[in-house]
Amino acid sequence: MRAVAIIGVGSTPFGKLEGMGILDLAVSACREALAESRVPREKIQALYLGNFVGERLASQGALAGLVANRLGLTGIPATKVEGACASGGIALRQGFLGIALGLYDFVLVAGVEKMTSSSTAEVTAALATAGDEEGEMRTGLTFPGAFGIITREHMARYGTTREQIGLVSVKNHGLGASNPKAQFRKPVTLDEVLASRLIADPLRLFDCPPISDGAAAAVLCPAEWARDFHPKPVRVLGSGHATGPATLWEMEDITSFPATVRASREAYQMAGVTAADVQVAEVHDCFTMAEIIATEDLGFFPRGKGGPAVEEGQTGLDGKVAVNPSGGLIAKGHPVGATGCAQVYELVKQLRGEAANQVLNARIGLAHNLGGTGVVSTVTILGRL
Amino acid sequence: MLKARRCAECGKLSLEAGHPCPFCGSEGGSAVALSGRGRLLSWTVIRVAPGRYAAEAPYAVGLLELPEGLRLTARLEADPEQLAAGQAVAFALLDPARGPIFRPA
Repeated sequence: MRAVAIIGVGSTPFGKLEGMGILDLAVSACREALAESRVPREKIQALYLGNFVGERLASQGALAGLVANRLGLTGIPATKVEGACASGGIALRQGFLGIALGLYDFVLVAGVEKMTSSSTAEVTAALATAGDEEGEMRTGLTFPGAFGIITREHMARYGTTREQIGLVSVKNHGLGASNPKAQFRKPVTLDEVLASRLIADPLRLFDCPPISDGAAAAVLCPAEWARDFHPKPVRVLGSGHATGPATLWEMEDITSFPATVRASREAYQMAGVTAADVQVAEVHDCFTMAEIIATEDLGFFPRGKGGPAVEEGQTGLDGKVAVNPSGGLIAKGHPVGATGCAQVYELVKQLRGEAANQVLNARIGLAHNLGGTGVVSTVTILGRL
Repeated sequence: MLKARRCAECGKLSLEAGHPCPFCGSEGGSAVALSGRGRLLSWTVIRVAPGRYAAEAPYAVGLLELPEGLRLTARLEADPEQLAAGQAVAFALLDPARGPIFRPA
């Protein structure tokens, strides 16, 4: 396999972006990534685009071809990939494989979602399609609901406290406040989190991410040419992609996602690093408890110790591993198909030393993207080239 | 009455009668009649529901374990404030849209 590098990234701000349709969002992020990479348009050989609910919420299919056309990349193969909220991570994985395996030299990857034009009920129903309809979601379960059930079990089994869980939201909102791309730019207190209205017990409003619009993109090429295009290229050290059980009742232990464990094993092995080598991580905090579980599944903390780790500040900017310095899905926002690419955008900025909430001496970063109730996960490990 | 399929390969129970075993993908299996009794492992109360069930919110959904060894996710017909971990529940009816419905036993 050839070594792969990221030589340009782009991202729209996340939030309610009035006047920007789903194509505008994708094109904006892609243009920024292309401009940063200084790769001439005619050199781009393929586009992989992550998107989950564009057909349902933005009435737009055939998205990859449409984006390629709008970018003036007409003629190249353009492929939309969908793996629920892990769509962006899967797009990146496809681009990585295309270059690593020698099929392409220059690939554009992106993720996009337009969600704020729809009602909360419509969005809730659209996101619920990531679950197993016949096996579980027809009961009326929602994603906040599934994570509510998981949260209660984590608390019962490990003694994780409601306060520890709430502190994830406090940390991420605090970081989002100083990230100009973030949807929420205001810190919240633990009292505010614990007094916010219940969404799916025991999860409350501030345990959840907002409904967001946004897009993010990256340009990839073989690492050996990377410096010709960007002074601070970032190498893709490892990439993992795995599936797991789609329902709570199939999971042996609902406080752990086998897809995350498998994807991280593949990525760590490829990169030749361990969890202890990672200084900064963007993990899939689709709910506060999801961040705690991710830090355990990824091996940053032993099982059941993710809650105390938050309380001790071990996941803060100057902790053992800085988790979600962007503010994460909870504060930066969660335009679902864009999230996997936005995580990589943040880590590339971190590894170049250009991030809004810079982690000192960040050398190795990890992006963790999760879809459905853990039905799919990608893990990408990045390092300075 | 609720019925499950016991997989001929891995021995696990599932409600997915017509499909390969969701745990191992094997085809064969035998029907097992379930007592319909079980206990609540964990649960949530859905306060923001998808559109089709919006009029029913708030409602409880739980992860249940039946003594035969089957786990399932099911709607609970119960006062959400009265639920507790380990609580005994019993099968009430098979709703064509929502699947099996359970009540506190």
